[in-house]
Parts: sequence; C-alpha cells; structure tokens
Amino acid sequence: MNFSYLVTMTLWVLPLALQALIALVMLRRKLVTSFPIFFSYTVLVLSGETALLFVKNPSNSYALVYWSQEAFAVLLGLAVIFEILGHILPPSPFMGFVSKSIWIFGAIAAVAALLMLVLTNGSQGADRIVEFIILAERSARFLQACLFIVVIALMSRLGLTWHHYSVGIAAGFGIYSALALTAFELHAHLHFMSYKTLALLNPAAYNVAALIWAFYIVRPWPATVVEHLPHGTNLAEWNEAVGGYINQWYRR
Amino acid sequence: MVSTLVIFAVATLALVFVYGLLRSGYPEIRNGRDWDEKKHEIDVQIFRILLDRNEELQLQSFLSQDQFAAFQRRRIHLGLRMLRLVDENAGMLMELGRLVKMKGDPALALKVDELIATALQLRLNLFLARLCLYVKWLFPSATVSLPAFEMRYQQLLDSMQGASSVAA
Repeated sequence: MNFSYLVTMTLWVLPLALQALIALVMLRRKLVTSFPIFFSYTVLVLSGETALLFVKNPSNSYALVYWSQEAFAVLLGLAVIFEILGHILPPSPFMGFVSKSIWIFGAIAAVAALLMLVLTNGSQGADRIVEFIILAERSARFLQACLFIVVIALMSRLGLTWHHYSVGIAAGFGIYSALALTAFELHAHLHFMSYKTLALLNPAAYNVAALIWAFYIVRPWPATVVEHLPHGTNLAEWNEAVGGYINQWYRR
Repeated sequence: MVSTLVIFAVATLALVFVYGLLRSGYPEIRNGRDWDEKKHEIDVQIFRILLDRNEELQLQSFLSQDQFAAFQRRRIHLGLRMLRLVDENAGMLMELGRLVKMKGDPALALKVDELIATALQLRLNLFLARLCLYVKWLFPSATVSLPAFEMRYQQLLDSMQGASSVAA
C-alpha cells in the first residue's frame, strides 16, 4: 500500500463518514423537513460513493454510477441555493423582489456558463468526451460559485449569520465550488494540471466542505427562548429616515 | 483567456466571501436583558437634521467653500457612525427575534417575521445610504443626483406596507 493510495482512500472515505454523521444528526434533530434538498444531496453522495467503493473500476457500471451521481449532485447543489434563500429571507413582498433578482442573476450566470462550455476548445482524440464532461462540470461549478457569491453576500450584508445551519451549508458549498472551479480550469482548459492531481484536489476540496457542514450541523447551538419582543424598537422610524435620505438623491 | 480570468475572479471572490461569512459575527444576544445592555441609543431626529438638504444649503451659503467641505465631511462622518450603530441595533434585534420565534407562538412569530423584514429592508437602505454618503464625502459641495427609480421603489414600499396591514 503506497502513500498516494492511502491519501486517495482517506480523501474518499473521510467525507463519507462525515456525511453519514450529518445525515444521522439531521434525522435526529428533525432537520430533514427544514433542509430536504441538502439532506437528499447528503444521502445521494453518501450512497453513490459507498456503492463506488464496491464496484469494479474501470467498468461500465462504475462509470454509470459515478456520472449519474455527479449529475444529480450538481443539480441538487444548485437547488440547495434556493433552499437556503427560502430559509434566510422572511416571507414578504420585498424579499420576493430580492429573490427574483437572484433568479435573474442566476439566469445570466447560466448563460455565461453555457457560453464558456461552447466556446472552450478541449483536447482532441479519445479523451474528448471526458474533457467535455469536465468542462461541463466546470460550467456547473461556475454557475454554483456565482450564485453562492450572491447568497453569501446577502447573508453577510444583511447580517443573517445567525442562521447557523444555512451559514454552514452555504460556506461548504461556496468553498467546494470555488476550489473545484479552479481545479477544473487548471486541468481542462489551461492543461496546467494532470488528471492525477485533479483527482486528488477535487476530493480534497470536498473534504473541506464536508468538514464545514459537519461542524455546523453536528455542533449543538445553545439557544434560550426569549418570551417577548422588546418594546419601542424604532426600526420603522429609522427605515423611513434612511429611505428619505436616499430619496433626496433621486432626480425628480 | 477572458474566461480564465473570469473563472479565477469568481473563485477568488467566492473564497473571500466564504471567509467573511465564517468570520462575521454580531454581539451575542441571549435574552432581553442583553438587548437592553447592548443596544445603542441613537436619536433619529439628529440623523434627519444632520443630513437635511436644507440645512446643508444654509451652511453652504454661510461658510466659505473650504470651511463648508470640512464641516460637511465631519457631518458625514458622524452620519456614517450613526448608521453603523443602527446597523448593529438591527442585527441584535434580528437575533432577538429568532430567539422569540423559538417560543412557537404563531402570533408572535408573525410579528417577528415583520420585524425581520423591516430590519432587512433597513439594512438594504443603510447600504445604499452609506454609498451615497461616501460619494458625498468625496464631493461635499457637489449636488449629485441619481436617475429616478423612486417610483418603483415607492411602489415596492407601498406593496410591503399593504401586505403588512393585511397580515395585521
């Protein structure tokens, strides 16, 4: 057993153990109803990767399990963004406007990702299909990273950082999509990185994400229930004053 | 090459934002007493006077240009400090609202949602107001106007108030 094999196996098995723990804690704390998409993502990756441990590589069934899991994981990874948005934004028409703006931004990012996929020249020959799949994944990661930038900016800017679980999920996906995006670009487009290095770097990034998810989901968050809201909060008055100041700036 | 630059920029930005998200934090609020101790008492009337355009015009007519610029920058600095404190108050109230919501009372939960929506709207407004104040700090004597979207903004506010009154 050489060192490289040991590293590969550790990077493969460690997130599986973490995700099994995350799934269990989510079930125990009844978080499944709050974050059904993230839970589905966790279970999908966990079951897919566990199955891959026992399937012969290379083989058709290995490729089938691997790529179908990858495709579903990317889709669920994108859906998680809107699940987080649903959690952090309270139901109000104003927030509906914010959410709609993010959809529009997402559509623009998706078009950019698609253009990147179409306009990039991969390598020629036998590896062409693999290269295309990697470029497609790069485009998906690009879209994911763009959307997470917006969601994280919104969370930080609006001070929604007390949504502990949402923060953890967003941060994990944010880091993973950013690192994976860089790795895919270095490998598939710039050819600065070998496939072997990519095969190590991508799981390493995923390990970081799994560690963040585990930290935020498994850790108990102490909370005391407060009986009532404080009296005399003048937020509405301040809102009116600050809004009034901004209105001074608009041309009439 | 352009796509590579865009990709690296997006990846770097995502990492920077994640780092900011993981590091960010507001004063810990565990109960109503914490709020009473940590809240900032700021008078909204002072803010209104401080950034009132008529007051500004009056000052401009009495002071020399250099004096006015220096005075105006001090007023803006004070205004920005007030906005920072309001921002912190809004953050603490949102955190307190979350703790109140955990009680499970649906009527109270509705009030909390309303409070959080107002706080979020205030924070967006604070962000815009800060941008305006930074521009003003750079050009204290200039009168800069933005294209009028105010009608849409006003409609947005009206729709929000309408929804709040329906909920009440």
